[in-house]
Amino acid sequence: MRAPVFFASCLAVAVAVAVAACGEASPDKQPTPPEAIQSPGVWLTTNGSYEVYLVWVTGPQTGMDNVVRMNIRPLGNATLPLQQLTVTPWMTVHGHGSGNVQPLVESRLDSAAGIYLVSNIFFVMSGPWDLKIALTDGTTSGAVVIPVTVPGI
Amino acid sequence: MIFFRFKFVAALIAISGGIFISESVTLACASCGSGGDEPLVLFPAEAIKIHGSVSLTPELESTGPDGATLQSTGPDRRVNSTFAVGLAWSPRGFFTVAQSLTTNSRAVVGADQAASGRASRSGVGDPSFSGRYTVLMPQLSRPLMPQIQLLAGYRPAIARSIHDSSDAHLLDVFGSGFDEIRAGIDLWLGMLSVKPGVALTATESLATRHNGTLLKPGTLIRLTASLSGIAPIGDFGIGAQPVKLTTGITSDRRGAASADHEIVQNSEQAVNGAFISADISAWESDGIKLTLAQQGVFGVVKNSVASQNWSVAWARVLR
Repeated sequence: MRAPVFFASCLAVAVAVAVAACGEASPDKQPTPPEAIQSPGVWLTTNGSYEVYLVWVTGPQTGMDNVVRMNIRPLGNATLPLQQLTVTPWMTVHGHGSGNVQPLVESRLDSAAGIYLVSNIFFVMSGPWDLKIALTDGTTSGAVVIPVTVPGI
Repeated sequence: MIFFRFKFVAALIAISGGIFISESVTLACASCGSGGDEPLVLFPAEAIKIHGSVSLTPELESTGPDGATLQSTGPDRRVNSTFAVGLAWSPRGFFTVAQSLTTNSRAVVGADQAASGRASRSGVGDPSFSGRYTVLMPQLSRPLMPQIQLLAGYRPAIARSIHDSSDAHLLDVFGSGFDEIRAGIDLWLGMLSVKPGVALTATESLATRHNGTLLKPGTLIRLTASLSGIAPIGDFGIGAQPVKLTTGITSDRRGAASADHEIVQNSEQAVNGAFISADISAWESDGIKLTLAQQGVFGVVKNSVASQNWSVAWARVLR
């Protein structure tokens, strides 16, 4: 019975060494630093039909109280006001969004000038998110994905 | 949490040592290599077996692509009850059907003490259908010849997932959102008093459209290495029932996900875990199993969840 005991002992030692080694190499996990990288600047839709300028009114933060103001400028044959604007928060690296909690697009600011307020943007966790934006004037459509880093505590 | 992990590793190693002391005692072991992955396994002489278990996950930590802990609005505690039935179609093979009932909860901070407390929701999870077949049985004359089992499983996505959750705290999430097919191999040296084992499984999630996007998680590969043996425990005046201890480590690696057939960069997942379980025979045909498992016990936890899990399982052989 010495051979099995030796084999088992070797396995146990290997496991213990692996655990200890990996434990030392593991960095302490810290919450994401609070300096949020929002998304300043202008974003161009993939087909170049619209420019989207995005400013966070509140957030971005985990939870539902995130509001963003969008200034949208048509290019080429694209026109305003938009017939449809959808905003979908999406955590691409985790492969999920925010379930059935959907952002609310309000056009009461000045939709003719391309200014839209989007509220109820819900981030279920901190980390790297995307805002998937799709827009159309009924004839010309565009889409753009804007990265958003939602900070932790 | 880190302190807890070190305590867990220390206990794991200490009890692993305890296994070796009792090399003169041997107890049969079924599907040993995979440790506690299966809720219910059958020995060759068993025809019908039922199982019930309750597990508590008191803490969950989601992590990002760099391993950093993410702040989540989701559940911070989970209680899972699992009911399973196993049916043998031959001494070599058996089917199991398992169904879980999950309760997710989260601390709620209100304006005053009356408004504070815990919010919770319960629901059924995705059922599991699985089977195992022993291709190489134990041989008394060749103790170093491993027993080998092939395993396969299917888990249909019928429960609500994060993709159709309507709860701001994800308390109504009980399933994965993807049909899953699992296959693998489990081998162990069952004729030895201290039984080393290894299991390797691959889980493939079927592409499913959620929120207008065709999503497909990467293939999950789980490697489990385990040791099983008899603990040198006296009878303490309550009967000399043997206690089988199984301890081991797991390594989960999931490949990159895809969205609308395009690979999602930096979406690979990785988490390593450890577990220890004690099997105690009770009465004539019952068994009690206590398991402590921790995901994220060592190494970087990437795009995954670090958690600790305590479970109590009961099983009865009906025939």
